[in-house]
Amino acid sequence: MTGFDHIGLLYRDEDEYAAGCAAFLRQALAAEEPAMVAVPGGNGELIRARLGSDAHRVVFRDMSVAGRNPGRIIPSVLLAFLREHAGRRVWIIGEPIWDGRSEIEYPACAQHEALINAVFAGEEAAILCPYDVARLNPEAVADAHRTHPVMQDATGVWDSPAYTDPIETAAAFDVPLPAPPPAAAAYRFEGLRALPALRAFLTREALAAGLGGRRLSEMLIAVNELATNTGEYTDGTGTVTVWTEHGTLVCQIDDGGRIADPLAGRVPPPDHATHGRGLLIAHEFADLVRIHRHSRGTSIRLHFALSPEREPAVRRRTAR
Amino acid sequence: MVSSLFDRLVAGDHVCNVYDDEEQRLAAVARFVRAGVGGGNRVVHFSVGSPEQVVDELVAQGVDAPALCETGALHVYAAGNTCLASGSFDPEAAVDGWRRALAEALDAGYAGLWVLGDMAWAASEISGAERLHRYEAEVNRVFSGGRALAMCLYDRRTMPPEALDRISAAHPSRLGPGPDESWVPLLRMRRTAVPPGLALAGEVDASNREALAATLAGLREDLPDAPGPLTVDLSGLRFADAGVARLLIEGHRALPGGIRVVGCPPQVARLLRVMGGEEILGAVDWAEATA
Repeated sequence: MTGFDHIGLLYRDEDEYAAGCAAFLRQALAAEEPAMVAVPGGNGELIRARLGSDAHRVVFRDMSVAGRNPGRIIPSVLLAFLREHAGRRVWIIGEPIWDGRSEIEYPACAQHEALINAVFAGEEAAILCPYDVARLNPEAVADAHRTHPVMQDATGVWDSPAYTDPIETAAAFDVPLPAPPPAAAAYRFEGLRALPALRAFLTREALAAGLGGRRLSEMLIAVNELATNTGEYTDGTGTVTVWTEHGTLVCQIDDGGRIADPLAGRVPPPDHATHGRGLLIAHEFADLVRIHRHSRGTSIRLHFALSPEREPAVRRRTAR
Repeated sequence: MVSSLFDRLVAGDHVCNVYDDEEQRLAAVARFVRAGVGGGNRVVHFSVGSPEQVVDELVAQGVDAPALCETGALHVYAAGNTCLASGSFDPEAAVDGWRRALAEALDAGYAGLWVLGDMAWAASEISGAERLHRYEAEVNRVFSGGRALAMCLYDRRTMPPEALDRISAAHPSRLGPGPDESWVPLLRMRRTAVPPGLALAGEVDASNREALAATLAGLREDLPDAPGPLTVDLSGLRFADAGVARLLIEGHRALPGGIRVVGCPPQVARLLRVMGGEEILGAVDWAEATA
């Protein structure tokens, strides 16, 4: 095989899961090409058990950690593996959508799946994305057919008739964000000069909400980068709104800017580039990034888990 | 007490002080002179008005300026009569001038040199904006040596806000308009002899990053005898943005001998990794970073 393959694997149970994933990986191992498994929680154990003594030839990452923020998966999981093995075809199992992804996370997950096609076009890579048809919302399974050019299940492989332009599909998941709570603290800033005071505001709000230490520092970096973009690329004014919601601190930045590049934040700019890293850094440090483009500009919402040690709700399954 | 704010200035500082009326300017000049001379420093003031006018203004504020001028503790020059004159303003010559002025002050037995520049002349000199900007960035190399400090007075009424923000970004810190008793400089940069390098304290973002950029870029030239990599100590840094990570990566690549980062907070190390600075991570002193 050559070029890029992006396959949605529909599975109904652990056996179909392990069989489909192991068959994919055995192709990589037979060709002596690099392979990685990035799946949530205990799913990796199912694959390890099925691979047996070959499992050590595959890199395993826990997607519920590495890909907790779906917007981080392309740059820091998928592209990172591709670049680590430059010049070789890479094989990756990526499972970004599981039963337990919240309603606020889901559109970002689906956008991620769509944008993989745009980012990896022309690369030497095969990416298999398992979908648990027994547990996932039927709409998520239907969406998998829109974001994967090829589908597979226990009975066969077929071209997905629902697959369309990935940029348009990703744009279709740019849905309005639920309104912030009326009591949320809002801070209006103007110009780069306002950055220190903005960070002081964020620090006060975060500490009051229970976000401190290193996570506070990382939140400040993420929001500061986005506010720097506001200062540099828009009329310079923006508003940051902060509240807590479902165990996360939420920081939303609104400005009059437009993000022209649909892949902004997904692909690291060249080393020498001085711009284009704001969203990439927001994806790196936040646990979830939601972006909504609208007639008045752009809203970017960052979520930071208030107790990072708490794992997202991922079912644990053991190999039989 | 407003004067306490000026007493808080220490050698190495380079402050962009923005004023928007004459009262604020007069108060800033008097407090600066009082604090500088009080600390045993020579104060050099480049004024827009004539030196005689400045001396009269200082006397009116209760400063015995004639006596200070007599002893040499205070020098007042009209900006129009010097190399700062708009027609012939040469940033490199001006920076060298400060190096000589500092050496003279130290030779004369002063603790250091305090420089107060009224930059109101700059507003009328549109064609010189680029040169002024380069000067304000380059002059950080003189002050980060740690024996001199400067306060540049900018009149908000005479400059568009964007131009003022741009020139302010070449300073590590900004003050005003108006007194702010809780003010501390956003960033302090000091060259260090042991280990040879630069120590940073405070915060760096897009509002003051150019000051760091110029200081880092000139660091090898300013520490010509230091063997091996130069040490950049981040342990006093409360905040650094992605632009700082980029400057460190570029500095590591561009400066002969490279740089070594100590006191690197974990979030900055993560930024360096995201920015593709793998090779500088090898230069991060992790033992000190986690201490």
